[in-house]
Amino acid sequence: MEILVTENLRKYYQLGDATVRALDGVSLTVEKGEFIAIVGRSGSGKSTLLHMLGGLDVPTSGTVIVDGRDISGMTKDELTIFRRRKIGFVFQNYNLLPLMNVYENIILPIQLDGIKPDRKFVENILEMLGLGEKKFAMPNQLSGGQQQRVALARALAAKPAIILADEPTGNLDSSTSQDVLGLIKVSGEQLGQTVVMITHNEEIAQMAGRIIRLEDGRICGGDAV
Amino acid sequence: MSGALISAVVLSCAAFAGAAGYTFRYRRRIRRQMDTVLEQLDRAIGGTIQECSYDESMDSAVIQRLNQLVEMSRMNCEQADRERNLVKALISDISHQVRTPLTNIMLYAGLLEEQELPEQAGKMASQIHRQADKLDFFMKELVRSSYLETEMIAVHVEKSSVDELIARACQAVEMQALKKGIVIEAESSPESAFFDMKWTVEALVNLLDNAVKYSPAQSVIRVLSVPYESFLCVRVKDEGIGIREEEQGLIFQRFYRSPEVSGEKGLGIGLYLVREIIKKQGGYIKVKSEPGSGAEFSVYLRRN
Repeated sequence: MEILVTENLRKYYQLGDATVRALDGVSLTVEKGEFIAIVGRSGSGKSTLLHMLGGLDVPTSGTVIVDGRDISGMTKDELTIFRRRKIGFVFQNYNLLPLMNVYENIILPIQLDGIKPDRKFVENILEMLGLGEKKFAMPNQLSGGQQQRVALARALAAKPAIILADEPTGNLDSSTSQDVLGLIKVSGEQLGQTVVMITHNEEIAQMAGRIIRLEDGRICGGDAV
Repeated sequence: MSGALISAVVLSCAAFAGAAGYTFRYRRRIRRQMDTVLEQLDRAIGGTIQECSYDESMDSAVIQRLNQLVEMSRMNCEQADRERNLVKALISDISHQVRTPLTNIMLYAGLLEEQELPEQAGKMASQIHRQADKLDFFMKELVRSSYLETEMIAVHVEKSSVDELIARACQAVEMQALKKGIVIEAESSPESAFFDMKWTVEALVNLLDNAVKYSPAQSVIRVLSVPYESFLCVRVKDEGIGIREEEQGLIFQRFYRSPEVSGEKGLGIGLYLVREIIKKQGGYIKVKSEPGSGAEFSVYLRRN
């Protein structure tokens, strides 16, 4: 089942007189449950692509279809709710709220949606990610790897259609990176989650089931379909 | 006149307030109903049959239908299970029954070879032996492939010693390695992790088996373990022919055989089986290799 499709996606920025083509006709298809890495040097357009996929930015032309719905035509309010329900984000700098404990951070997006969090499911995720004993810890008491695991738990807990990870191990040392990546891979597999990860590191990309290479806003290698 | 006006205004205000109050209450009631339905749906997705009261309420009708859905999907699952078990039993029956006479054939062919025979007869005897060997290999592969076909891998994960895992796996391939003069250097490790001993040994044996098969004589195979925070990594590193980058994803696919090793015996089941076993236990496997300079397989097992 296709969970994510983009067709001829373009994003042009106007910089003075020059037009910057951040994305220049990107078409790709992601099946449910896949783990995909998008690789490219900085400036290749991979972050722009991720922003488009997550509805954080609006394309100049082209379509993004997530879980059967075209999001390119949505209003700002629709997009906000869409993101909360369908997309789980994992950022390089974790983005945890410092005044809330681990559990509160994880259930926040669910609560914002007016849904009673499924306690058992959340506990299950915490166990899976080895955070069982850190449930009531505050973010500043955790190591970088642990904080990123909490961010991953937060993304998983809302049962989104896709998890978008933007350089998830950018701030971690190599052995912790291996650990966090392994957890992303394994938890994705066990929960049937689709994961799209952005990275500039080839070795990290090897963990994914499929690699898509981006250069100058175009797909230039890997398997786009 | 003004009295009538005032009373009209008061009346309409009251009517308005009443309507507003009603709407508010109505909305709240709908909201509560939707919440209950949502909860019921969630429970149905989780596969539980829910208790329902047998009355004329919509609530009971909804639960009734949901239960029907759950029952249906359960029945489908059970039927698929039953069929699978039948096939499973059949395969393992046949393969075991075939292997007993096969072992006898191999034994007698061996004995025959040791006899004083005319030249022609000796050749034939060794031919019989060789063919029986081949048949035996295929039967073993058949049993192995039946593992993956039918959810046969039932892992029982518990805290186990990594040292024992490595020792057992190395023991299983010792003879083969000895024949090629290959040394297996295994580091001992005090760590433990969560895995199923029997199946994980099978997985590691598969990796070591490959390492021996695709390494030159007199080379070294290293086995070591590295602890991470959530995973424990067991590495098998050889000095063999290596794997091209394009092939590194393909080798874990079922029945994939690299064209470069078509001379070796094998059906392309081993690595697929390894990956399935490791995946079932919440771990994963990775390969790093360059053609000509050996391959390094890393198996990551859960530590918590």
